[in-house]
This record gives sequence, structure tokens and C-alpha cells, in this order.
Amino acid sequence: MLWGVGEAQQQVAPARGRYRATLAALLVIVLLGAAVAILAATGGLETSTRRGPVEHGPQEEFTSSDMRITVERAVVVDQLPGSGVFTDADAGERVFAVLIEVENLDVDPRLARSDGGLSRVIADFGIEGEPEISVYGDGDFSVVTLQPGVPARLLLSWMVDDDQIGEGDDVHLSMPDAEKRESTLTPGTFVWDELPPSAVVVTTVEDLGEGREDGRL
Amino acid sequence: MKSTLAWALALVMVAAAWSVTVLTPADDAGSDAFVTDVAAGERGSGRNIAATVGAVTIAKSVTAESGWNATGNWVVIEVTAEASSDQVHGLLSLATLKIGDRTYSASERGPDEMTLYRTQLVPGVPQTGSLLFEVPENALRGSGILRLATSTTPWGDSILQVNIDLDAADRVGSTQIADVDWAAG
Repeated sequence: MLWGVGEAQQQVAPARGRYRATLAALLVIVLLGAAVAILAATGGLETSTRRGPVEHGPQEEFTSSDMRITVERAVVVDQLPGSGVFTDADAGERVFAVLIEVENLDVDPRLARSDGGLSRVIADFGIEGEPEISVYGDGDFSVVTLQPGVPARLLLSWMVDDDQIGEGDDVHLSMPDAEKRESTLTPGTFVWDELPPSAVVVTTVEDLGEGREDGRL
Repeated sequence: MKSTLAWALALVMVAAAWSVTVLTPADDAGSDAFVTDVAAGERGSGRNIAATVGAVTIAKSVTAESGWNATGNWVVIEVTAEASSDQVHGLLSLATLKIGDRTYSASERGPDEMTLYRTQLVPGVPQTGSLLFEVPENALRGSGILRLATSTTPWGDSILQVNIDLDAADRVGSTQIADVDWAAG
């Protein structure tokens, strides 16, 4: 539109018209530049609800990585049969375990160990490696698959040193996030792309002492 | 006359180009499996799998011979299966049940000998066992599609597909699951 105005005036006063046209063009460039800069600064046009990890407490339900998750308890215990973690009490080893309820909201079964899945939960007190994942109370450590729409109570278990964490300590559990997409390498199959953590659960650790032989807390 | 010929030729070329687009297989066509539809109770066979689906039971609780027990909403499908040609690649590694738009995989929970899932199939020596599917309560009606294969991603391989009538299934409170065994007879 501004160009059109410039062109019309060029016929009346060519020099002045050319000046106005240049000015108009510059104005358009500056305005467009400003618009792009504002868009870039505010994160683009795509709708985004991502505002860093949201903090939750125990027993509080939230959704992350297409899973509905509730952290029930965080415990430290001498032994936890069926969890996949084997401790040597003489070496000062104990089990740090988090009991969660989780429901797969996707339409396909998903390994608990899939990318962006529960093996990516991180506790903030410096334990290394991914947790072992087991179905709570099954007493049978094997592959854990989350079936769509079927809530499951799972244990995430790590081996820790006996002086690493104890009764009453607060622990921050960083919860993974991911989104599903079709694989470009193998069409027809799906992969999970990991995203930055969407939630942090803050809970207090209970010390259960020796623990029970049936693997329950 | 010349212009009519040119037009006709152009139309033929456009039609030919269009047919090429329509006839070109999709990018993932190479990974399509050979799906064999089999009726429940009948023996179906594919490249390296042959199977017969037997009784279907819906139970609130399942108990293995070892005494291991779990509650939930279980669809238990009896299957007799064998490999057709090759034992080395004969692991029953795909066993899924699709109900509505959701797909469930056979459960790995409980002792290994309780399920035919991930059992090594043997050519010519059929084994009988159960496949257990843990599903939400609202999925226990209508029908489902059971898919069986000896590869997790059966590209260019066989899949046996069996329609499972959930409405006709036996509904029980609890059921005892027999360990996988060699099929009689």
C-alpha cells in the first residue's frame, strides 16, 4: 500500500516521490524487523505452555511425557527384594526407592525404560545412574511395560551409600518429559524425543530400617 | 490439427504423471508385513510361525502354577504355536491385542513360564500356553485384534492376525494359568 502511494506521487514530483518511497520502504523494513525481534524475544508464534519445571508435592497428580504420574513415597531401606537392586549391608549399601503410580496416556504400550521415560527420573542428592524399575509387590523383577490406560504402581530404586540420605531429608525428583514422533529412519515406528524436565517433585524421605522380605514398603 | 495433437499429447502426459504419483508405493511400503487373517480355533501359518488361538478368558485375578498372583483386568488367550522353518529366529516376540484405538502388548509380569510371550518356538513341535493382556476395565467389550509374529518389527515378514470376540469370552473372578508346555498329541 505504501509503495502504491509513493508511485502515485512520483508522477507529480519525481524527486520528492522517490524520497517518500524510500522512507516508506525503510519504515516497513524497520517495522517488520521490530515485529520479528519482538516475536523472537517472546518465543515465537507457537503456543507454548512451557515455563520451566513445575513443583509438585507427594500424592499430587501431574502429567508429563504423556504419563499421568503421582509420587507416593520416597524411602531409604537396607534391602528391597524384587526391586532389582542388591545391597551389601557390610559395604554400607542401602536402597533409595520411590513409589509412584503411573498411567500411560498414549495409545501404544511403552517400555518404562523408553527415552524420556521413568528411567530418566533424577534425584538431586548425587546418586549416579538410572534407577531399576519394577512393578511394586510383584516380587518378580523383569521388563516393565506401561500398557495404555492401565495405572501401575512402580518402584524406582537406586543403590546409595548409608550416609548419603536419611530420615527427614527433603529430596527433589526431576521428572522427565518427552514427545512422541514417527521415526524418520524406520517409518511406521515411533520414537520419543526427550524434552527438558517438566516437573520437580519435592518429598521427604522415610527411613524404613531393615525393610521387609516380601519387597513391600 | 497440430494443436489438437499437442493438446492430446499434453493431456496424456499429465494423466501419466498423475498415475505415477498415485501408483508409487508409500515411503514405508517396504516395511509392510504380510498379514494372514486367521479365525479363532483355526490354525494359521506364516513364514516362521504357525499358531492356533483357543479359549479366551476375562479374569479379575490370575494365578500362575508357581503361586504368583496379580489382580487387574486380564484377557487370557490360550495359544498353541510353533515355528515353521527356523528355531533361531523363532522367538514369539510380537504379541499385541488392539482394542479400539489402543494397542496392548502381552504382559511380561509374573514368572516367564506362565506366558507364551517371548517363548522360543520350535519347528514342528507345537507348544501350548497363554498370552496375558492387562487392559483397562472399559476395554473389556466388543472385539479385539490379536497379532502374533516372530519379530518385533516384522518388516516384510509374516503376522498372524486373529479377531478376538471379547463379548463371547468366559468371564471369571480368578483363573489359574497353566505353564507353557509341549502341546499334547
